[in-house]
Amino acid sequence: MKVSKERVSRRDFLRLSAVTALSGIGATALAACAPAPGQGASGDMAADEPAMAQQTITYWDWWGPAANETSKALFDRLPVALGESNPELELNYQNVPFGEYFVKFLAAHAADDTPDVMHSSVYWGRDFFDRGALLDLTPNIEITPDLAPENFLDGALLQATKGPAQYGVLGEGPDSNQIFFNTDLFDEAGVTTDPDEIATWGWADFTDAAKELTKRDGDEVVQSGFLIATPTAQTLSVWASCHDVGFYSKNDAGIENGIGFNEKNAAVNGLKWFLDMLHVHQVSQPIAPERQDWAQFQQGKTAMAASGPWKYGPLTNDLPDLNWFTMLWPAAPVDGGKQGSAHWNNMLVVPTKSPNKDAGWAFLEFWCGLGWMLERFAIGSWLAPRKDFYETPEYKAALQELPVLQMVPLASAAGTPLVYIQQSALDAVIKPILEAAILQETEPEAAIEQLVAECTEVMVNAGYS
Amino acid sequence: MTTLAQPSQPVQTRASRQRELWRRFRKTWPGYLFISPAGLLITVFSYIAIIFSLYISFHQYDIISEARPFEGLENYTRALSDKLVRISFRNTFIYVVVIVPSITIISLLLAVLGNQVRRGRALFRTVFFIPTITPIVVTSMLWVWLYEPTGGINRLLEMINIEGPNWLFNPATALPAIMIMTIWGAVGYYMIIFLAGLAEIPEVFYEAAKVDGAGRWHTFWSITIPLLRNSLIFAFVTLTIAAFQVFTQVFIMTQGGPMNSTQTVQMVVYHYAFQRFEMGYASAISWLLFGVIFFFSALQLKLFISRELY
Repeated sequence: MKVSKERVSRRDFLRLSAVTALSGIGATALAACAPAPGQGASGDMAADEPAMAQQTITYWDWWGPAANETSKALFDRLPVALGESNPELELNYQNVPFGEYFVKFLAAHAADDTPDVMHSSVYWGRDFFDRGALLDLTPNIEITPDLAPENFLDGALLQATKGPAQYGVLGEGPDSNQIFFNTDLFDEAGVTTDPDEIATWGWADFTDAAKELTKRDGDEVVQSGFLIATPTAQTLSVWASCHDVGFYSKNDAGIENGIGFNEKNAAVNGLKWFLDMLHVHQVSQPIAPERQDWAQFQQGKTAMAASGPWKYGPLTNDLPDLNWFTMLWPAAPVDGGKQGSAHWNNMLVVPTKSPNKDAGWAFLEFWCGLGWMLERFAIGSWLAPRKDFYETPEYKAALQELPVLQMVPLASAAGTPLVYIQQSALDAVIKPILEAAILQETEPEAAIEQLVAECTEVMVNAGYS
Repeated sequence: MTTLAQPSQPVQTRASRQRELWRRFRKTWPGYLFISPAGLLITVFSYIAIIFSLYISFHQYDIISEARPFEGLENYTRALSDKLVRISFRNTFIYVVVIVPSITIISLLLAVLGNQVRRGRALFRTVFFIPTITPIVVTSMLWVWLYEPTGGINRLLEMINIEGPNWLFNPATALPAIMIMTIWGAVGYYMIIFLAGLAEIPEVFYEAAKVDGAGRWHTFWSITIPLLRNSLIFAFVTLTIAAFQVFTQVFIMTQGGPMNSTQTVQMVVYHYAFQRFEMGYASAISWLLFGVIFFFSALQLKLFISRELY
């Protein structure tokens, strides 16, 4: 064997290294810039059905198979169920974490690389639509009887519509704000747990119950009757709901044209009620950004805490010994006062730049149909925003097992929908003003007056006047 | 003759210069090749992004809308009259004014102390350096727990009969609480910088001072501080730049509240850019912040750098 005795000089070695390194980097960069191959929800999930696939549909969702076993089961089933329902569709599911969803959609829109269809939070829906990033789905809905507005719970679609235009179809929910209560602590304090009796409560009854349920060690509250948090837009929506008024005012065309949450003095009354419970009756631990309200409820350190139906499952499964139920927010002490809530519904939308709008619509039709809703319910007990769902034997059987499920459609019917128009801007206005009020730096009347003025300005700047 | 000879002169010069350049290039091209990936990345993700942000600061730009009208200086004038921006600049200035000297002084004292420790020097340095290598997200979360109304700090205060405040939900204490956490987290790093500076000071100066009868205080002021000047300048300038850009701990601990008492410029930029789509306006605020940082950095360098070399 002949061995070369030529030595490689240091300079030649450097040159060779540089060329090799650059080639490697170039190849990597090219690979990175190349279109991504179809990415299944759980590895090769979508590739199991290649023979049936004629079109690949790209779908974004923040729920993903990695969250837990139930989610994995759902997303394992999704491509199979889609294939059974629409053999021409092959799913390219892309999981985008919720925290990155908004920014990633902005980037995708700017780069003309949006998915065909996606799950959208109600928090972003209207703002995306107002900027022309989402399609008006009304023409498709008009020729799809199964997704007609009347098939969905009353009021649920208000967040997916703007006047006559509908830009989203509800794919999950309905979510709402409810008050969870620990029935053992209620019994111990001698407070009724009868849902029918609780449904007649007004704000004063609620405060009395909270007082009964509060335990102290000296000045320190060791068991809160009810945990008061800094009010938010959702709280304003709840207070409005308890007064039977809306968060927004509307024009004749049904389009929001201003702030309505202080009609009947709803926001002032609500703020006074909270201040009363927090500072006068001291039924709550002090407000602090780090307070873990839900953990306190689970540990029995508070008798009541606000949350939503998404906690039903975890509470039932993780803490089977905890006895609890939920109530709607009690009626405000005004004429027309009623039980209230804030409710919201996330939706499926088709981006304006969707590469395959027809396939996107076909997927949306599948996801929002009763068949898939029932499969979701069977897999993970997820409820549905469709009216016909509540007539099914599957739901009725589950209701026997878990009676609290009845609260979901009740809250949806009672609640005030928060459309989240320019909500980041509104939140930036709402937060410091309500913090000042809750810290008693501002009188409630002055705080709400300022709030209405500044929120109206935000709405006007966004073209809602 | 002269007219013919004259034009040939520059041609020859240019040719030889080109040959020289080519010769140099043949020697150095592997080096350029090696730095080119980093250069490319910095160009794309820093320089182009910086230039683009300047461009959009003169436009109404929200990423989504097709229309991106030119607005001239409107974003800048709006920022100057925006209450939230004014509050954020005020809070940021207060933060800078407290943080920069505090960290500098405490870390300098720790370094001097650490330099004199004979036993357990490594342990001393490690103890103070650990917070620096802990991610700020983690330390922020830990301090959030410590600042709870019934958390560790108030329990300690309770032992000496002091009723602690609701640290992060009180406009008077929220910003100081964040400052305390930041100082705690940063002094270790600057202590190491000063320790390195102290190690560079020749022992002979201290011996000479001792012979001349100088006391400790006099030695510190007349030898240690002047000879640490480069480290001090580094600490001051980098701390000022970092303090003006404070974001993470505020985002995690208070979200700018309560009552905007911890709202900082970077928080406001984030709010306008990533919560309200107003990229053009957020860029304008960023450029205003850049101007402020540039001014103070230049001022510090002008004030502190002298021609005397130590």
